[in-house]
Amino acid sequence: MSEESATVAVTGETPSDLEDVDISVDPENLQRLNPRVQLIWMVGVLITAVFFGAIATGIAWYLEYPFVQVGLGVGGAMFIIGIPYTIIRYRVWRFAVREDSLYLQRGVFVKVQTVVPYVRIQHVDTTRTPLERLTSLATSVIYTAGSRGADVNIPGLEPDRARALQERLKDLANVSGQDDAV
Amino acid sequence: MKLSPLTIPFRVFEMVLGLGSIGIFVIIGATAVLDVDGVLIASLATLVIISVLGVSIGYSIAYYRRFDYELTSDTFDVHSGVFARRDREIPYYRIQNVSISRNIIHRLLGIAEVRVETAGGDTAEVHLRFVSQQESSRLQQEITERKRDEPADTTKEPGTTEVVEHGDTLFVISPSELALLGVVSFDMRLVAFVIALAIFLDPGTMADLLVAVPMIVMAPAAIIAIYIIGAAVSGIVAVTNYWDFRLVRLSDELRFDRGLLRQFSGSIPLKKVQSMTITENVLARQFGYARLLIETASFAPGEASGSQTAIPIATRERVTNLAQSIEAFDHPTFTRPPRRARRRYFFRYIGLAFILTGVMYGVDSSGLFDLEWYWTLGLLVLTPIAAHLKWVNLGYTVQDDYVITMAGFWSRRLTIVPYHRMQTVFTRQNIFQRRRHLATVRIDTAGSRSLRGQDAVALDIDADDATSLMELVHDRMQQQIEVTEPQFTWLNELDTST
Repeated sequence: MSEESATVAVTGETPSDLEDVDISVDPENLQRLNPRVQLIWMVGVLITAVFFGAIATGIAWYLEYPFVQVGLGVGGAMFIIGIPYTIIRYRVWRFAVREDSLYLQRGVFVKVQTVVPYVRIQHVDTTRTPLERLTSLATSVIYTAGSRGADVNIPGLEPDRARALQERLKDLANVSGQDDAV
Repeated sequence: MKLSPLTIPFRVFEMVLGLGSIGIFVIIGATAVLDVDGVLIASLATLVIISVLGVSIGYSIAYYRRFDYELTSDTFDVHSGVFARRDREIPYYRIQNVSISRNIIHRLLGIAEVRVETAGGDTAEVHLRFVSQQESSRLQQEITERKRDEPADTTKEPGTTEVVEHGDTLFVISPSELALLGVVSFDMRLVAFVIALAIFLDPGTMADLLVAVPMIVMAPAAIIAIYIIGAAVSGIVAVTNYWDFRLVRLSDELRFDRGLLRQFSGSIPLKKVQSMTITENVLARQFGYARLLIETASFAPGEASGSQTAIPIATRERVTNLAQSIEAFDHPTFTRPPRRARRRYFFRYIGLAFILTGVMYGVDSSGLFDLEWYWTLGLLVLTPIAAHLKWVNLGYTVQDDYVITMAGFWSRRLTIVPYHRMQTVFTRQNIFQRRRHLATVRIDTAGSRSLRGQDAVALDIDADDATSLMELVHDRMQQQIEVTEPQFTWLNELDTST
């Protein structure tokens, strides 16, 4: 077939260029979120559990099953699974303000690492939902011109830390960015 | 400058068609429910038509009178709006492209629709409905020239550029290429549309067919029928879209013209290229043909995705050569994912076959349809082949200035990204990938949000290589912008020195 001639391929070997890339992450530099963020996430889990519990109750009622037990069972099970999920989620969440990029790693089921170069930062928002205000926390949202730029946010920061981060990122973006990057 | 006066009758025609038909539907609906006599209907209908006509004429005249645009020395200004006024100024150097679109009625009237795009956003920043055909070409030409001038250069008098630039013709579609494009084009969305239309028009026959014919005959027959209908419709759409396609290189942009029923002319700014994609679907690959798409950071008018078609179809060699003349990448030697990735696909497809069988079994035992569900287990035979085909078409490579990824069996996409265009880079690893120490790297570039991801993706590569690749893309981006942009300075240093 002609396609073989067009695409010469090697299998599974590390390209030589990749071999001398330093991927060691200095654990000293990695920051964690404030543990109170678990409370916020737990409320989210609770709302989800109640929502699906209610749907299950409705379906059970329609099918003439014992709906109270089904609803409590489904909602309760979701909540119980949600507790370790939240704790693990908090434990694996890390970010680092590196020399020329912001680095994030997170995710329980899907582990995601992100590198956001300061040159690419368009602006940084600090947002606080009512629940975050109650727990005195904030979220930093980092925007780039990328098609999925708004995906980068750091929750569970103390307001001072969020503001400091916003300032720092703004300064770093300023010194390195002079082009509109598009 | 004013729009073409022909705008008024055309807009009236459009509005009467739109508003009038809604009005008539309402009246017909109301009479069916309320049971009133014919004279009343006729007079009501007349009243609706007259008022719609009056409103349309009034609005169109006001729109025309209120609409004004101007090419100033450094901005393109538009003043518009009947009720809410808007004055908009766009600096020339921010304009990404100027496109012209003309359907059959526009062409009969000699008018054209002009759109001016800047980076970002999902609609055109300026939409001129409508100007005369000559004016549309003049605007396109004029804006291109002013865009090229330095923003500081105001010495040039507007309108002094009489010379029309012709540029080098890079590509003209030949009748045989157009025919081949018709053959290899296959758009699943059109297939879904055709099926929906068939069910809508004749639900009885469709339901009868589903229960009357045994599935072993029905399924292959349906697949063949869907393929033939889909291919025919897709082919016709592709041929009319890319009729008379030609690509011209002006000094720093590509200009293309295409279309049979709706003529379209647009440009691709070469300095704003974010990434390029060479796609070969499974049919085109057999003939050795490919398509070249170019992604700029603006919304691409007249395209389903965010990219613009630079070459709809040509031999792979020709497409590669043109792509290399835009971005000087080397002929890629791809690194395929490790063999354990293929094993992952094998198990994934086995799982999918069982899930499908389970669904079929569920439908069968619910008694609504009588399905011979166990036939879907036959798909298990295909799983090793499918896994291999998926795996063999994957790859990535790092070059001095570019990262190139390849993916897809049905439509194989080669995505070429210059490091300095990268915005963010992600590594993702789900639970199945973690078991096999695999990960996926996604390199995000600036662009309008599109449903079909146009990003460069290195799928299921070794997890350590994934992290290295992520860091390498970032490091090289930093190096490149420092090299290509010598004005790189630290603002704090500047502040202290002044």
